[in-house]
Amino acid sequence: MRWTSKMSESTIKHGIGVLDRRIENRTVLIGECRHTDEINRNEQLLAYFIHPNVAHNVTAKAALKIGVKEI
Amino acid sequence: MSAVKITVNGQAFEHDVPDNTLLVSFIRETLGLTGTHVGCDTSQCGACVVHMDGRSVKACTMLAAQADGSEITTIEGIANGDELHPMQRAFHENHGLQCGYCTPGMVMTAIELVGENKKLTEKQIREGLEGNICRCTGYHNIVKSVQAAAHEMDI
Repeated sequence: MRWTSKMSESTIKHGIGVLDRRIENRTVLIGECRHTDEINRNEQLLAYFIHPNVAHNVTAKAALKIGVKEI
Repeated sequence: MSAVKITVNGQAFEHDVPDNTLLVSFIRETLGLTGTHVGCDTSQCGACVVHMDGRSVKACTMLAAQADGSEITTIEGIANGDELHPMQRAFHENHGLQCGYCTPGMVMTAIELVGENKKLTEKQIREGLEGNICRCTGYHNIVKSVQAAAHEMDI
């Protein structure tokens, strides 16, 4: 097998080190891409990741007090 | 509640919104234009930048009521149909984005920057984009994109 057969089509076409224009760029550039934050359904379950800045589980205890169901 | 009349991307909207509604929430949730992103919610990252009467503003730290009567342009409103705005095209051609989360704000800020001065130096571009944070690109290709767009918009 010749080594050139392992190159991607893009590399063969444009050369090594040349930037390849991504097809996914367009939706991002015109504001039509969708992120998980934009999924909003009825009774959607939300999860929050709380990162304590102190030891001894203080943040988790405080979260339980304000109504967080489970940690 | 406040009654707000705002023209967004050339289309007039009138809505009653709670007084504490942020402009970015109005754009994203009331109008459904989710191209404008919320990154930090504290006016540091610049993902929410839109144009208000031609000037770039961070939509996460101003109220919808403050924009009453103004013309807003978002990332959805700068392309001409299928033809990308020169700044969008420059970002595409110069690989000025990776994950793309900062891109709408970056593009909107850059358009105003180039609109004010089309002969920007690299230093001026970097200073002008200080209010927009990108965690992917290292800014190199963003600066290249803005330079390319400035050149094209100057012709």
